[in-house]
Amino acid sequence: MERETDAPSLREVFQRLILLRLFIPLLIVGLTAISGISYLGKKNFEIQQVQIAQSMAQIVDHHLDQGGRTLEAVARVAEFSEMNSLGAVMKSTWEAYGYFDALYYLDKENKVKLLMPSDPRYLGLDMSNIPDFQLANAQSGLMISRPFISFRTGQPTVFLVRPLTGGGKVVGELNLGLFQQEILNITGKSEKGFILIMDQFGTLLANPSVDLVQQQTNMSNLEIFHHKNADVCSGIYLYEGKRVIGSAARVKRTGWIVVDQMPLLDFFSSYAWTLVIIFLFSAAAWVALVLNLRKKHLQCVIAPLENLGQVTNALAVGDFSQVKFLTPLPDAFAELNVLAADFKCMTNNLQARETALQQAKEELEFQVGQRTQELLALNKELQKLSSQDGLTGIDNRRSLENYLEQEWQRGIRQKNSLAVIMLDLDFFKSFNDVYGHQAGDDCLKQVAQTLKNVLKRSTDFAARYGGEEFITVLPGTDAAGAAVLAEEIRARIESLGIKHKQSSVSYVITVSLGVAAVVPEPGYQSAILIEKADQALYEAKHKGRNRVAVAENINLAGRE
Amino acid sequence: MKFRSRLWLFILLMALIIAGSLVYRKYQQAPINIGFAAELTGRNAELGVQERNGVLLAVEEINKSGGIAGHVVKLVVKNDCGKPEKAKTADRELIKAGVRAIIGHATTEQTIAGLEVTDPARVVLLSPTVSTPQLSGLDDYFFRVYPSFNESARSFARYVYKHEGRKKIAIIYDVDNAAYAKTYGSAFKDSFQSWGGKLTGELNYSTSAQPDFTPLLAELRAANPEGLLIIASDVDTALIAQRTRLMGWNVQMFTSAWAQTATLIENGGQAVEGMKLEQSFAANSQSPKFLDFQNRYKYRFGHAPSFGAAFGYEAMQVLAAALEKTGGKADGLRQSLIEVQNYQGLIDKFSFDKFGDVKRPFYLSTISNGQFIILENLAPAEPGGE
Repeated sequence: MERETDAPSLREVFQRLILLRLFIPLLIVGLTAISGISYLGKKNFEIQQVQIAQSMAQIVDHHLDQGGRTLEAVARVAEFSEMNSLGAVMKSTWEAYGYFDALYYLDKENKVKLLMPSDPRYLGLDMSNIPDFQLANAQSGLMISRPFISFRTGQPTVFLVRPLTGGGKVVGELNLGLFQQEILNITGKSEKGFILIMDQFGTLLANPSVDLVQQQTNMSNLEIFHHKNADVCSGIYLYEGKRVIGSAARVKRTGWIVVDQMPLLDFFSSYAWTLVIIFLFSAAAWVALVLNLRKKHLQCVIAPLENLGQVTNALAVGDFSQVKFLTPLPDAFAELNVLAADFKCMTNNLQARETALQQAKEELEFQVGQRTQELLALNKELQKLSSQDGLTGIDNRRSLENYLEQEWQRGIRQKNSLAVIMLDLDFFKSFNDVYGHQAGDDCLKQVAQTLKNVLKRSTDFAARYGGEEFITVLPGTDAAGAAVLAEEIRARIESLGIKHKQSSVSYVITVSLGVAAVVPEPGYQSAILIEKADQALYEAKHKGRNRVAVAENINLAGRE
Repeated sequence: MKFRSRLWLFILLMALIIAGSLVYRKYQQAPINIGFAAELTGRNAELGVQERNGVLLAVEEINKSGGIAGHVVKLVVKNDCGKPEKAKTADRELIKAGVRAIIGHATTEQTIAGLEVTDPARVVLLSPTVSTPQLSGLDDYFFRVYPSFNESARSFARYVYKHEGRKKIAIIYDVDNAAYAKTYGSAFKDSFQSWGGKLTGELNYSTSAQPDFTPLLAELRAANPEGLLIIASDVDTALIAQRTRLMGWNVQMFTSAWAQTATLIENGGQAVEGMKLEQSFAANSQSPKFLDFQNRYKYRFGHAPSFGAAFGYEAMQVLAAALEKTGGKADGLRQSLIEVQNYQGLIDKFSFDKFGDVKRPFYLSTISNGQFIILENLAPAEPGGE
């Protein structure tokens, strides 16, 4: 049960699925694709850079080769001709090619013998200590010195040294401005990238910032410099505090390194627009896709399911009215429509069964009500029957005792007189014997009827006391009133004129009556009144029957 | 609910990482700028280039070991072109760029000009190689790791007179760096004459004019001196030496500490062999720290360091040590530098006095087989003495 309450709702599950299983994977795929494109772009760019660097390296090599050929030509003359003609050749070469800042002819001791352009200040100078000059010998062929600042011009320079077979050297002073010009030519074509050339120790030979070259800046701290063993290489590294992407190629002749590089930021910004547009488009497409999927899903699956859920909830609390909203949605899928239809069918069955049950219940309740009514009537009848005398139809002795007790209590409360008349048919045994029991019963019925007729007040009560004895209870009546009533009863019964041959006091049925009256008091039984009336009846019988006897004043207090 | 809160946690974490890296980058992007100014281009640039290389090597090593007070050090390099006006401009630009201190200049003339800018701005100017006594004993923002030549020039003169026994001497110097060359010449001359020596001639030239030295030397030669003192840059000293030999003048040559670079030897050829000079740089020291420095320098720049590189390196290292104490701030840097005592340099220990000057040993050297050789210790440094 706890799990159920913790379980997320359908919408949550769906949102999570859309996000985790669709949008984020799409995003990752997109980013991966873009990384792939970037990587390919970078590779492509590096290939391009390598090509540029290589072509630059070829240009440099070409220049060195050109210089070498020029020196070679001068060297031939130096080796086989007179000094005079050498001077003329050097002059014409220097003027014609304009390639070298200066041409030197050194003698065996590395002293300047000839200098073009001619300058007496430098003639005769000993150049034997210039770095790498000692390395140049007849076997090594053309030698290219490391860069340094020319003591003549103060410009960054390299020497091309061609040793002569007979000793001495022909030297060309190559201004690095030549390479500077070449890199600016190539760099001019690309926008953000630029080329730099370093010697094998990292000293700049050419850089768009000519100051750096003139200041003999050494860039051996560039990471790409340390890949110099490979002929070409590419990489991302720091250049003056900025990340750059660069590729390097080597000038084989000298070991110089040509680097084509571009700030990484510029490289990416050249791709950035394309990438951003692609990414934005695809992201927009994904968002649209995801939103559409979400909308459709909500429409086709979630909403119907939620509707079904709501109806089921309503049904669970017995509300069938919701079912009518369960009309199949046009967008919902077949299984759900079948499910809804089945559900509706099931609901209808359920509702029908419920209605039938309700009807049955109502019928049952109606029948029960009827039966109850009947039972109540019967019960009343039974009650009535139990308090009535079966023969005469007036109250029986039990009913009498109840009534008397009730009136006794009322008499106590109201300090009212309560009177009782007890009557007995005279010689009724012999009447039965003579006329039969049927006649006896008829006689008793007539007497009872007469009693009833005589009693006028509703509170007056008559009952058969047993056999041929009857008693009337007269609330609020004193002994004298009761005696009058008793006399009237006696007279009326006598006047009924029911023949009785065996009676010794008359030829018709007569009755003897005993009257007793008292004001009831607490602490005394109502039975006293009956007892007194019985005593008065006995007195009337004793005095000759067909008469009324009244019990003498009953003093309850003084009686015992 | 669990999913949501986890998602939020993830987003929060990402935001924290991004913010953290941004703050870290911002922190990283606030480097400590150190200025450098010297003559870096032209014929006489070698000393400045060497100093720049030495300083740069120190900066790279400092950054590799975590920077100064956690900040990356950025070296801002300016070229003073060997001209006083350019030196002032360079220093002004560096101060504008917010440097904590300036290392420079390589030559005296430019340093004196630069001080007119840096001193009023209360920016420390720390020179690796300037040795003029003109700047000694001044209560200013100027510091140097190279000792004043006041003593060394005199000791040099004494050596020339007494040890070498040369009684007559001629002097040629570069007037473009007169603050150094002329002062050095005077110090030498005074001492030499006080010992009883004689100055047969004194000529100057301007290096920017690239003169022909032959007539100048011929004039000096005419007085027949026993020795020739050249007070000039490395290239000029080399050219003058070559000219001297080309004239067939076999006089013993002397030069000041200014010329003590590889360029002197490279351009001097055989002419500079046997030339004697006074220097505060024990080039053939076998101190492990110095040998190690030589190797690292050679690996980085492809050739051996000369004195300019070594003193540039020391200047940057001692500046970094002082800046570390001020937490990388320029405030209190002057005091912090003055408090530097017995700092272990590449070869020896040194201390700044209250005027920002150092006392370090100096040597008499010569050039033999294309190498600087220490011949003797001219005067051991006496700590604290003026």
